[in-house]
Amino acid sequence: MVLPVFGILVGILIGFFLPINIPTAYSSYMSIALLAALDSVFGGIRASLDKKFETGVFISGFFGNAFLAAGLAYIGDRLDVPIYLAAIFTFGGRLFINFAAIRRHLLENLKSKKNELVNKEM
Amino acid sequence: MKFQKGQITFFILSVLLGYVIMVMLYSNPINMNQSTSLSTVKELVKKENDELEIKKDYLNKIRSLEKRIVFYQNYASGTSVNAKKIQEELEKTKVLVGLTDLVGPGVEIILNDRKKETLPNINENNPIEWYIVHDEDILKVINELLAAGAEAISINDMRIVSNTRIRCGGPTINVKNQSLAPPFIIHAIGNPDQLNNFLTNPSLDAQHQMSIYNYLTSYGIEFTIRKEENVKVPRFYGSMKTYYAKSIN
Repeated sequence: MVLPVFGILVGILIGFFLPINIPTAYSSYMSIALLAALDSVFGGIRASLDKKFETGVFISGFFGNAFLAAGLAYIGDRLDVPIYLAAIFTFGGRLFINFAAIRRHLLENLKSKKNELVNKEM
Repeated sequence: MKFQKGQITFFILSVLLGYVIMVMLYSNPINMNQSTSLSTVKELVKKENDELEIKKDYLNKIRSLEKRIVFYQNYASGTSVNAKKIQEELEKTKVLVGLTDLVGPGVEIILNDRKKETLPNINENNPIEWYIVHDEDILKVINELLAAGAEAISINDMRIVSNTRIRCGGPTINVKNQSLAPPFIIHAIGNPDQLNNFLTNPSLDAQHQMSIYNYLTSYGIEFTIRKEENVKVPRFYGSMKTYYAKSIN
């Protein structure tokens, strides 16, 4: 839980000092890929809280989803079909579901820790 | 702290995600109110294409109507010697006024704002206005061309005629009744060497010993002059009525 959040912060710091410019033509595909990657990391956090984290699933999901989303968005643009909406709904929706699961997990952890403290005091 | 397997890859990919987020923040300006979104640009491009299509239709209409006029004129000129002379006179006048497409030796001038990558620090003492093409610059260039004996001049395919105004329109330059945006491509028919000389020779300027070419390029404005054998200058489209002026004779 702490590690990926710390990782994102480190990445932001690196990006702060080593900024590269993405051509405007690609920035819309990049943002779709970003959403897919964000979803993967949130999913990874949830899985590691559930103790079900698998490296292979995570890596393939991270890159696979990002490239698939960007590729589909590009094809959609070419065919004049807004396929990128599918990516936004899928990953955006899952992002919220994952976040809700993480939140519940953390709240339960907090509760159980409190109970432990109470038990110790008794 | 316990290490689950694959935590390291998780960390590395998170770093990558954070980096990409930062890169996206940099490439998309944070102040979204002042920038134009991609969808707006697409919409505007489509609008422009539609308008250009309409313009093309109107031009075609003008051409077909004018063809009919020419047909009637030819018919009328065949009726008598005097009518024929009048028509010859009319054709000459059309050339002088700017109602015919012209071709001949001359120069092609491209004026463009300074490239964003080469801009120096922009601040109050060094405003961005120094590095863009202004209406005055174009007026000066056209003045030099006329001084050098240019016989026909056009800017971005807008023919310069006797009542053409060139005026600042904010981000654009208004020429006659159209707004033009950079790059400004000026075509002029005349003696190519003389046209080029008037634009670039600093000794012709008595006051500052600086030609318009020296002046504009010193600010980094793109200014290219190309001598050409066949410069095409399109005709003027529009109305040329006079409401107040009357001929004395």
